Amino acid sequence: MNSETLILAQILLPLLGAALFFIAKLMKNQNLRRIVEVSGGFVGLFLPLVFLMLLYPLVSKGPVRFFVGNQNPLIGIELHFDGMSWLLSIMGFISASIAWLYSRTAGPKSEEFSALFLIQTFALTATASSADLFNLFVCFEILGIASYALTAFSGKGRSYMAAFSYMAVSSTAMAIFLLGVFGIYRITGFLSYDGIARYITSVHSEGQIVGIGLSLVCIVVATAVRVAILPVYGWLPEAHASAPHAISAVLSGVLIKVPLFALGRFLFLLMATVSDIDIVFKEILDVLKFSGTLTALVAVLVALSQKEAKRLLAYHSVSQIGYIVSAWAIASPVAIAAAWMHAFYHSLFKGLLFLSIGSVTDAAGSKDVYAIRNAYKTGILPTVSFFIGALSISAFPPFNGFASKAAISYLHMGSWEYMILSFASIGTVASMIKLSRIFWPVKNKEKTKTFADNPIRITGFWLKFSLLFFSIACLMTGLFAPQIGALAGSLVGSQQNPVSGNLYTFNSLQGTLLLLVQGIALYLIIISPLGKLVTHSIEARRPSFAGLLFAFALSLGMLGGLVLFRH
Amino acid sequence: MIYIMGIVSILLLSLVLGPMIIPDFVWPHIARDFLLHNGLSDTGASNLVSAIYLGYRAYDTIGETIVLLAAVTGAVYLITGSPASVHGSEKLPQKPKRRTNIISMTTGKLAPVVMLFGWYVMFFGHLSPGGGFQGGVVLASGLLFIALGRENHQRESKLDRSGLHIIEVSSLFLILLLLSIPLVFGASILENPFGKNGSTIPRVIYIVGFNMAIGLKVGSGLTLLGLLMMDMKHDD
Amino acid sequence: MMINRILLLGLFLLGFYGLMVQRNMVKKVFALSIQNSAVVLLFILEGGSIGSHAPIVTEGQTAYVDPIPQALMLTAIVVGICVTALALALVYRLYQKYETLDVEEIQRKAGNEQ
Repeated sequence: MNSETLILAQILLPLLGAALFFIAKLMKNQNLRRIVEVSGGFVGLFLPLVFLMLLYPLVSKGPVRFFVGNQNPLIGIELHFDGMSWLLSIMGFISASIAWLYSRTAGPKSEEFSALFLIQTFALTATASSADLFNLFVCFEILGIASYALTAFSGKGRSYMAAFSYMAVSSTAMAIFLLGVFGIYRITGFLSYDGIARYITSVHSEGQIVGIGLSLVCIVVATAVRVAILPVYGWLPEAHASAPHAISAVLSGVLIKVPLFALGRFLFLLMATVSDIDIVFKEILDVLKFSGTLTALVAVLVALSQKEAKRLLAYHSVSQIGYIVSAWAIASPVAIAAAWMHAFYHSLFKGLLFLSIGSVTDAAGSKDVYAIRNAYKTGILPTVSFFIGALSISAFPPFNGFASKAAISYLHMGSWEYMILSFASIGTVASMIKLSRIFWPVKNKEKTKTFADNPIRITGFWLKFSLLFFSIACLMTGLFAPQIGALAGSLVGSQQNPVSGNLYTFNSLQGTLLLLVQGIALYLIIISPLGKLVTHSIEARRPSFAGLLFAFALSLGMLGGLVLFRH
Repeated sequence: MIYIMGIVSILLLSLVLGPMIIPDFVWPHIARDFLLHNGLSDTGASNLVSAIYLGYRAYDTIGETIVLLAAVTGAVYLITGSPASVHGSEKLPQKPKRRTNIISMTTGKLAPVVMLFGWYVMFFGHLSPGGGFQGGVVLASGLLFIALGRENHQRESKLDRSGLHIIEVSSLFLILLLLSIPLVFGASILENPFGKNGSTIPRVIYIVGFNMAIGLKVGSGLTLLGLLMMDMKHDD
Repeated sequence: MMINRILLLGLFLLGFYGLMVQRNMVKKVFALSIQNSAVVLLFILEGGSIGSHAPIVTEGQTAYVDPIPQALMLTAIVVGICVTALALALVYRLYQKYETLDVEEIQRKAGNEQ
């Protein structure tokens, strides 16, 4: 099979899996149904991983660029399958497979769920290789519709409202995206990235520069809604908190990152060609970096105040994506490799956290962090996996968060962003301490309201398997971080390994110890009476529906105004 | 308060969108000129729009079909999963009787005509405006006419929901088959393998195949959705 | 012509304003649909400025309108319908659960549950 077929096959195989699940729904014979379901899962999630392994030697030599169906370059749809697509697809398939296995035991088991899940996975891989603006729009829409429907699968009223808000904001953003495509097409006449890049070398007039700049602003802000950075992250906490646990893991782990890197392919390709528009790109990326850094801090402070376990984790996702955006916006290949590493590691440990916390809160019957205690009785595996996840996200060695956060901090060494990201790390440690309280063995005082003493033990083969896999993966990827960093760097085209050679120097270990002490201090401040007052007032604020759209309009206006008034 | 936010958002949006949309620009015509000369010979379709979205940019059309599939699946799951029977039906207002003489007579006479028109639009999409999506929607509306005109016990016989599910799933497989058929002929996925170098199969058969598959898929999906929204989820 | 584009921009802004301000959920779905329609009309209107005939190949005709926006908008319309369908299904379930269509009431009730 030639390379194009392999690439298209690994994109389209999840669709075949979804079709198998639809057939399974129609079958009456139970045994036959199970066979078809298992084959659907295998074909849709595991077989593409095999194809990706086969594709690795090809991608390490250089990107594969082709037009789907060998169509004409003027009108056809272009796909770039380069190292970044490979990395993103690996991240997507690993996270999706393990989350799907978890849902076989614990989550919604209906065939529609699995079919939609596979459709979402198809959209992820398709977005990772897309090199055409309208194809990007279609892929974003598939991703969106599958995730709105999947969020609503948990059957609670909250999840319907969360899905509706997510849908409304996201559809509006896509309409603005389409207007951005309009702006670019009317000036350049091309939809493929290569065509646009070739055209902009000949752009000189002020009017055209403003036109293209504003279209880029529309496209960037629309993607930023999907990526959930300040100030448009409002839809994320409710959606991720009320979705089924497997979906929360995939939403936080993969769906908020792939649009960012897909946009990166567009912007960086355009930036690589020298033209009069380069200034606009620099301005947009600077604003994104600023926003990402601030998001990392603000989101973790709000996370500290949450009382519901999954909302706390959801705000953490926003904070971590802020880290990723602040690294990505530097736009050099080593920065993009570091951003991918943190994205991959985040999908592993956030998946672990969502799945373990989800199982524990299901067994406890409540999600309130202040009410649950003694959760260690649910079993060794959930407890240990939670702690592995918490240590990873707080960047303790030898787990994977240590290496990736070090990589990102190294990029920002010496600037104001470094300080803000350090503060955010302290907040992360403190909020993980707060979350871990549900596991502490505490004598049954009168203050703990609902659940304390007799939790149900958590069972289920696939559930335990998924927790075990993620835990081991966090440990392994942490130990092999330099090798993974080298792999990522080489695939993205950078000469440097984003993970610096000596990770375990005395300085860095000292820094980690200091981080732990500061985190404990912050936690103690939070549980003091003044801290409780502040956190309760922050927690009581919920974003309203109109507020989400207002934030979107505000960010569009600010970025657009910046472009408009500088030119 | 909310009105102030609304007005401010509108002003901000017009600030960004205005300079992008309002000024006069010459619309580029590279694509039109290219398609003028090559559209018919490359794909065999005289309708250039069909040539684009089923020939050159067929990948996007596959994506669009999948969007429809996902939305219909999600909406069907949401509507059928609701415990309507548990909810006290005395609280809901009495639904007015739908079937009157006018409706049953009109829909009965119109439905076959509309369905025939739907098939025509589906099959002739490569020669005149139309295609899979448009034809499928007209087909769905024809089927829904039948459903509108009958009441309770009569309507379910012709519009068995599992029959529609079977059509939907088989059209999905047909689309996947059409995607991968070029591999058998040595071409790559989604590349039209017919009609090259003087073979007897006309080149346009690929587009007609896609139109049929998409039309069946859209028709069955939308009919299912329409039936559920007309509150026919209970087979009684 | 410029007036067409200004009107379409106004339509889009109307949809956005409606989505933000309306309290009834079904009217929010209307507004979403209006937004989509405005974008579709804009593409097709502008694509039609370079020709005068429908892009169906006939003898001796060269002044076709640009077929690319039309092909793109077929996809956009279908996506808009899908969003509307899913949104209406969600509104239906929300109404069943909370017995109101007012978005602020629903958010208040949903915020109080676990």
